[in-house]
Amino acid sequence: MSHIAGMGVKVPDRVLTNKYFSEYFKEDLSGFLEGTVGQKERHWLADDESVVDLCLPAAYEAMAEAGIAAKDLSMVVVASDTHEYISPPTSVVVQGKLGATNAMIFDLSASCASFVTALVTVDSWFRSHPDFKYALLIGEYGMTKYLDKDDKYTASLFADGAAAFVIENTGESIIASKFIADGTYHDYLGVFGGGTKYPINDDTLTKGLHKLRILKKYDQNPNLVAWPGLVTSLMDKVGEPLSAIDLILFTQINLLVIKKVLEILGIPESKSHWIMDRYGYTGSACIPMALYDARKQGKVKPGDLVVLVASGAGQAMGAVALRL
Amino acid sequence: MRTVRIAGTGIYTPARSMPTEEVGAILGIDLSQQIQAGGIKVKKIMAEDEEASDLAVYAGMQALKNAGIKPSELDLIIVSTDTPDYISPCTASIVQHRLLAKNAGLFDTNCACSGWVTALNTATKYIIADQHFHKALVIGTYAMTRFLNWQDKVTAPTFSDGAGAAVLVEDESETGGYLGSMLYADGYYWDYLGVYLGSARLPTAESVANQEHTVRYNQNKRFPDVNSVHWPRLVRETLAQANLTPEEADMLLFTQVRRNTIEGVMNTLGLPMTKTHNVMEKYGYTGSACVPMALHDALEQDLIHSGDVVVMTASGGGYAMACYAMRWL
Repeated sequence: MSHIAGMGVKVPDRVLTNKYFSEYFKEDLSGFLEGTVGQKERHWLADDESVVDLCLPAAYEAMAEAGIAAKDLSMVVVASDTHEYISPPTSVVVQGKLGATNAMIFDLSASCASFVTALVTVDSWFRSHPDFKYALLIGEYGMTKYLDKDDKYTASLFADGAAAFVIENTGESIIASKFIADGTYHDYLGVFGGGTKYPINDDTLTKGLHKLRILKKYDQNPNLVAWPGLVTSLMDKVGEPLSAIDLILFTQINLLVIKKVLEILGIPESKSHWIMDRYGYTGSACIPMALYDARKQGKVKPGDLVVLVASGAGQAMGAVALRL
Repeated sequence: MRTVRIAGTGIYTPARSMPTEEVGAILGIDLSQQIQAGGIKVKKIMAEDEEASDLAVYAGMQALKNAGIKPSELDLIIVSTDTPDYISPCTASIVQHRLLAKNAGLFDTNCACSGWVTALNTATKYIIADQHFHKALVIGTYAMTRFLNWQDKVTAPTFSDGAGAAVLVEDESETGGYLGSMLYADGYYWDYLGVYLGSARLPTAESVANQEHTVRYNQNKRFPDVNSVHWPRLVRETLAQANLTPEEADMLLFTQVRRNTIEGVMNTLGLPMTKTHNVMEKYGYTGSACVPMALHDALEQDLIHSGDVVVMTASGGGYAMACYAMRWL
């Protein structure tokens, strides 16, 4: 299968604790942050830092573990919805700065499902290109750049980080993948200004539409509704029972929802892993960050069956099963 | 053998047109030489209330109709753009919603103006790799006039709006389908041309007043003519994967940014201009949409037939290039 030959993670130096937000908003937010979503602290980019500053160290760490040089890469793919620029893509900036001159590039955006979707995409490319040996896949998140720092809910929830995988083309594919999407939710949560609908002008800036906004509220938690069925149908495709899963990782947005989904599926909490307590919510970076952390803590080993389940606003969901 | 074919194409070009000469007159410059060499005779500008997703939906609907495929049959929608509706979520989610393509997974890809060819290639890989994927809609949409500094003498006359789409479907043909592809990128040029404000670099009143949120180029760094150097190589190498030579290609389509470049590349390849097809004269330059727009136009004019070898080559800022060949089914 597409083998993960190296992993790297980079988060910004600046740390903000729950106490910081409770003091800033003059209200005790620790109940929600720690009790519901599971966060204790998170990292924010400095004013003079951006997402490429996270991508490069994560990439170097992953390449060092894989024992390869930038020139060995056939693909550089950046998965995110918080790009360095509108154009050109972040991947071409990373390719240029790494000197990965033999690599094709593209950015892939499916909100917080970007990384898992891109992992399946890289695997699909590998299957038609035995000449491709290595791909660098980066999930990065710089959402604090878009935060309305005075909005209590979003300001405390979102954080920054990046994770990079070097994926080796070993001739076999990932085991199975499954996507579901429902675009009727495209105008619920997002950064709606700065594109073609609300271009940057005085009106957009005055209304704050260039910041992360929740325009409509979900009636039900969409992850709680969809994740159990998504995991079940993925494992049907794999042809193994749920009990065969060694590690299952979910988008790290809400710990109570993750625990509830595990309960519904009958999977013990010990077979999952979370990082939001230390890193907050890092969107398209959170799943590879969680896998990196799980491996570091010895919760997963080569040969294990790993399932990654991601959700993104808009909404797009993706799940993938692979052998580590 | 499992392969793919294009079952239908569609385009959308906005109603509002402005002759390039007129743009020059407004800017107080004579563009006649540029129009002569580059071939961009017109500027197509989307309406105030149109967005990138509107262009994408109209082109997508036409492609589905021409393919005789219902939106609910789609497994995958890929929108390729560097002018999305929103920063997040992706434009594909809006398209999926508006087409009622409820069974389709979705994502956007961005590799600037080479995006659609790369997205078509990505959809090809999905269908070939996973038998659960049967039908994909691949759209290139371009709304760069929203990012224009209308006072800029270089960019203002060049960029237009438009969209092109293709429905890609699985096929078990022994005689045609996907032949090969080549990709090439050189990120050394990432800061030569782009829209550098409005993403991780947040706009401020001051930076907006300085027009930093518009498409900009580095005054001291002009792109070398990379297309003339690499396009012939990419075409040759792509066709070589199927043991074909350029002489055996029937239709070659290129990014529609400059007609003279295309003429030079065809000359380098030793091929007549009858084997290429240009639409910049009537649709302007439409970035990630221009190659599918040229493909659609060539099909409408009955220039592509079953069994023909079709090669599509695109370039985007940063820069990234993509070449894709298929034998038409």
